[in-house]
Amino acid sequence: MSEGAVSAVIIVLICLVSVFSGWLAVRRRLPTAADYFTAGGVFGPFALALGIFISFVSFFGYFGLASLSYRTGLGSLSAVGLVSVFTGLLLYLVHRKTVLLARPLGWSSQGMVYGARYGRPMQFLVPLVMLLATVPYLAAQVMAIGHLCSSLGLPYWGGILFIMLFTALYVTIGGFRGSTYAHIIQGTICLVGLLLTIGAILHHYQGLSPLYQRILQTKPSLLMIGAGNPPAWHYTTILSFSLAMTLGTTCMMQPFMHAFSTNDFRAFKTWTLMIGPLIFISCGTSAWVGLVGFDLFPGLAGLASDQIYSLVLHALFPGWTAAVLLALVCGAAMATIDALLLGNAMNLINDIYKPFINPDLSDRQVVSYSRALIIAVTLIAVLLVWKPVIPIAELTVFGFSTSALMIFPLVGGYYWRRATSAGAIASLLVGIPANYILSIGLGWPRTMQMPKAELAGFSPFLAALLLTGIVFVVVSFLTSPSSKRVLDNFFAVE
Amino acid sequence: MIPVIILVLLQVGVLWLVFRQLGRNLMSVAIAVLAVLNACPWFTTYETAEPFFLGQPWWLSVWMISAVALLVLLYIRLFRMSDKQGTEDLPELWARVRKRLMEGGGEDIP
Repeated sequence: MSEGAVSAVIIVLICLVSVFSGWLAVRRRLPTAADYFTAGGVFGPFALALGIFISFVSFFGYFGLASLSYRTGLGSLSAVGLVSVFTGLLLYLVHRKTVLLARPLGWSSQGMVYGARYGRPMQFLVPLVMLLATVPYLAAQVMAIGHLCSSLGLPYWGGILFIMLFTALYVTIGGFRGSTYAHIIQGTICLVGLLLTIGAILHHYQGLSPLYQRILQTKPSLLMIGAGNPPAWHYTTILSFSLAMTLGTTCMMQPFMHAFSTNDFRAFKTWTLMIGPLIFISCGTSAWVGLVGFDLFPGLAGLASDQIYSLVLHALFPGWTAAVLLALVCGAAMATIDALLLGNAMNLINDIYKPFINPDLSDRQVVSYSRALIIAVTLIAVLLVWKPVIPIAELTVFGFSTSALMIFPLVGGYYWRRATSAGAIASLLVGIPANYILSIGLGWPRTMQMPKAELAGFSPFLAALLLTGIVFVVVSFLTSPSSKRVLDNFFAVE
Repeated sequence: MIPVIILVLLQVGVLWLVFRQLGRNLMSVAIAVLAVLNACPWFTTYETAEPFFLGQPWWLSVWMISAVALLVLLYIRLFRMSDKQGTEDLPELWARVRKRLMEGGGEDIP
């Protein structure tokens, strides 16, 4: 059997198992709207930890990070891998209140959280901002599926359409419960694949030291931060990348969905703390794969470097084993795609359609309309990557940087009594366009996280983040505080 | 200069959040400092690839050690704190929150 055929069989198996998960979820419980989006809190700490890990790792944690490491060296770990424990801490600190307040206040979408604190305009704005943040992230996953299929000798568009069809199918059928069942399977097989890859690298070089020695002789700047002119990684770039990813992760839809479905406080602590080590294993492996790639296949540039993960696996493993491992990566992309599809459907239906257009929507209609929205967003994502021009890593980081700008309204809403609706809305209306204009105008796509002389040394994202924070604080102080009833709700728990 | 300003703001923000959530004590200070070190290792220079631990560049080794230390402190703090605060039972906590919301005051919820 050829490598392409082996990969195709594994991908089909992952797709079928995922669809089975969706079917199992429906069979176990009738999909009320709350159950469809939160699974009624049936999952324990390890299921939630694996679920949130695999829904974030995505292709960025494999192909994107390996490509970034290949091009810029170990500094790429500053984007996610090394800051993942900090991310876990932030998830705990911020979403502790989401867990405590979600059930008593009846939240089942992101906009409801912001809406309860800042009012209906904010509830309307949040899903739109999340759509802006997740579309680049989603497009990166779809594009990467095409790359994966190409590297396996399968058709680019055929692979995309097949996998997107199955992903939309199982998430449409099973909602959060079905996707979490699938995540448990996808997360486990991805972890096994990662451990095998680490083992193969250690076996090939007889430890990590010889690998580092070889890079030291050929291109030592890959092991440094601050080397090169301009340097690929230095303080400002690291700050920009790491803040975009950690703050973006905290404000993305996945932590909200997992917080809504947490039924036990120890489980919450466990999954927020487990995410750090799990993401480090994944991202550390990909960064090492990038270095191995530089040693074995120097000279790739631009979008071609996104293929480095696949090239390295083919170099380290016999043909069919590499094909199996690459096919397993597909599970990570499917997990991220399903989380983003479900999250967007959850937000658009609960925060825009139901409160503003059709308040009399029944539970059954909410589920049906959400399913239609999942299919619509799937089609948009596929159309967006008709002609790929931006590497996966840059596209993903841009999505996270947009999400990161919501950190001030979120933390301010939970922990700062003086935060106001006008402050939250103004900060997003200023910050989001500023991030787009500065990033696209000054550094798109390669250098958008690098310091710019025009911005007095700030990167476009850092400038937009600072601007968002200043607008939030100043406008909050200039406007009337939120009502006592709202504050009592949010500060009933500390 | 710019990274220093942002790092100071970040440190203050994390310290504020950690104090509110994990209490005001030395361990919280250590967690907040390690957290910001983990978010961006601002204590060293990097233009060297000298091997340190398992052949890794030393800046990476220090970074990884700070991440592990942060994780250990967090596990100790979060799970020890829960014992002191009593209940971990979310439905019971939610019932107390609902009661407090209806009454508009009353006992503190941990």
